[in-house]
Amino acid sequence: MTPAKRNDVLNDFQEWLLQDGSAWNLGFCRILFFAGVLTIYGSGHFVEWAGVPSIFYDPISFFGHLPAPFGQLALLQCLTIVWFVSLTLSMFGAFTRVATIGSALIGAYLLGLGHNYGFLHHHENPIVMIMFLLAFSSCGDRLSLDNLVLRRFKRMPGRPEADSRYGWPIRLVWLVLCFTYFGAGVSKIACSGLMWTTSGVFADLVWQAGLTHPRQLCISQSVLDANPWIGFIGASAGLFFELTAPALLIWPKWRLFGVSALILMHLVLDYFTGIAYPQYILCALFWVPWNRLLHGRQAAAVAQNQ
Amino acid sequence: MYGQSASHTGFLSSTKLSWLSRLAYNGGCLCICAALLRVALRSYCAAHKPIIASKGQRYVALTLSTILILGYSWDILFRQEHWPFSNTPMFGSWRWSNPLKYSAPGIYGVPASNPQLEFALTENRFYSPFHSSKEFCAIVKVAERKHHSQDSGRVEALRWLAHRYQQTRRSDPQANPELIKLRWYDRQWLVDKLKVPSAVNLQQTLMTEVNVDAR
Repeated sequence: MTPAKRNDVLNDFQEWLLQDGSAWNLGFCRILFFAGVLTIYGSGHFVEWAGVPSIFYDPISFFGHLPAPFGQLALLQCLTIVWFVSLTLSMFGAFTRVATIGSALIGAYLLGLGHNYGFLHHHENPIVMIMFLLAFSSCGDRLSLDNLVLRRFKRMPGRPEADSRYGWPIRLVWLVLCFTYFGAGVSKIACSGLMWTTSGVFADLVWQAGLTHPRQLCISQSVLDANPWIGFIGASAGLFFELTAPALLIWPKWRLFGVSALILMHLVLDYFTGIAYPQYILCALFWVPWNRLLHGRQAAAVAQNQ
Repeated sequence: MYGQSASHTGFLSSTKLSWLSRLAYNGGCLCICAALLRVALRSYCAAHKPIIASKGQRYVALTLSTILILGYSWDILFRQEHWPFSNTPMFGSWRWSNPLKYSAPGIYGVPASNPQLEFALTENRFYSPFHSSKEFCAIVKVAERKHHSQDSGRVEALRWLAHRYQQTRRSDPQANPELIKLRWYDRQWLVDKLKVPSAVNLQQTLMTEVNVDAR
């Protein structure tokens, strides 16, 4: 690539990344996201890792440089409490910068603990990524206690409603989610090729779930086996939307359709196979233009021009 | 399938060819995606007004996006995992087969009230902090590597589970009957999907058992 072309690519990427965003929208996403994280992880089983013996500990990534959690009950209790406090403060937008940084760092440790025992699951990866992105962003400029204090008590003018500082965090979250889905699609093609769609994976997953945890479904196993086209359509649709996930970055009209399809895929997978990804459904809130949805197009334009 | 080569000798052994072809496919997918996005970005920028952003914001945003793009691209290209980056290989390697062969370990408890019976510990709460029995069973491989023995890994895992069960039972004795033994079965199902209704054949082999300490 010539230096001139490289500059073109960089300029285009910057143009996309640094488009103006709404401070209100980012603040609302912040509230919903941290509320969702508190809801999903509120039961807090993290301290129980202190009871799992070190013989089962197989550290990944930076965990190899940290001591095993076995016997560290007090430390895990302390980290859990601090994390929940950080999440709550982040949700309310109080001491936002410190709270979001704390949420991200402690969250990366606590949510990653379960990956150090021989089994990698992929539920928490986007959650941790988004926490780090919000820690670097100005997500506390609106709908936050910090903003309230700034305006009411310190009598300082806030930042403008529309600015690129509120746009790039949302777009980077989109980038994280696109990589996640696109990576899943590429894995399927790399391992099994397009034959994956005819592999009967969906019907087999339903079988496996039924063998170990029997339950009543609206479509019985025999119907799925007798009609393999159901599984073929489901698998093809899933693969198609995963591979076209990068299109969500650019085309707003495709976003509505594509994101709805991906959420539907998670819900169908959960219903039929018991494989639930509530974290991914939570992350989908960043695709929604909440300011336009709740304030209407006109009000959003007025707010943007102030 | 991809990368399966008849050649087993010479520089390009089947393993290397498989790795190389996988790398080529992953790289190809990333390049195609990048090229298409490049075209889309051009038309996007033509339709939108130029940006105004401070230097600080520009550097922060570009640094973070570079880290994300490089991290994810590396993991997707080389099919590696570097928490919290991942290539999300979910259900990637799947092959159609009939009969469907599925194997999964099963943990069973023998109640003190009736030692002739045994019941499967299916609820995920018994394996907490692991999310499910499947995650719990993965720790056996870790213990096997450290002990260099297959059976001792299962014994260690069952001993920990027994201790964990007793803790759970102390908090709610009504919902958790007293157990005297825990058993680890290797279960294999063979499902003939072409028969109507499908024929399911289960083979269950007791691998190991441990006594549950009543304390």
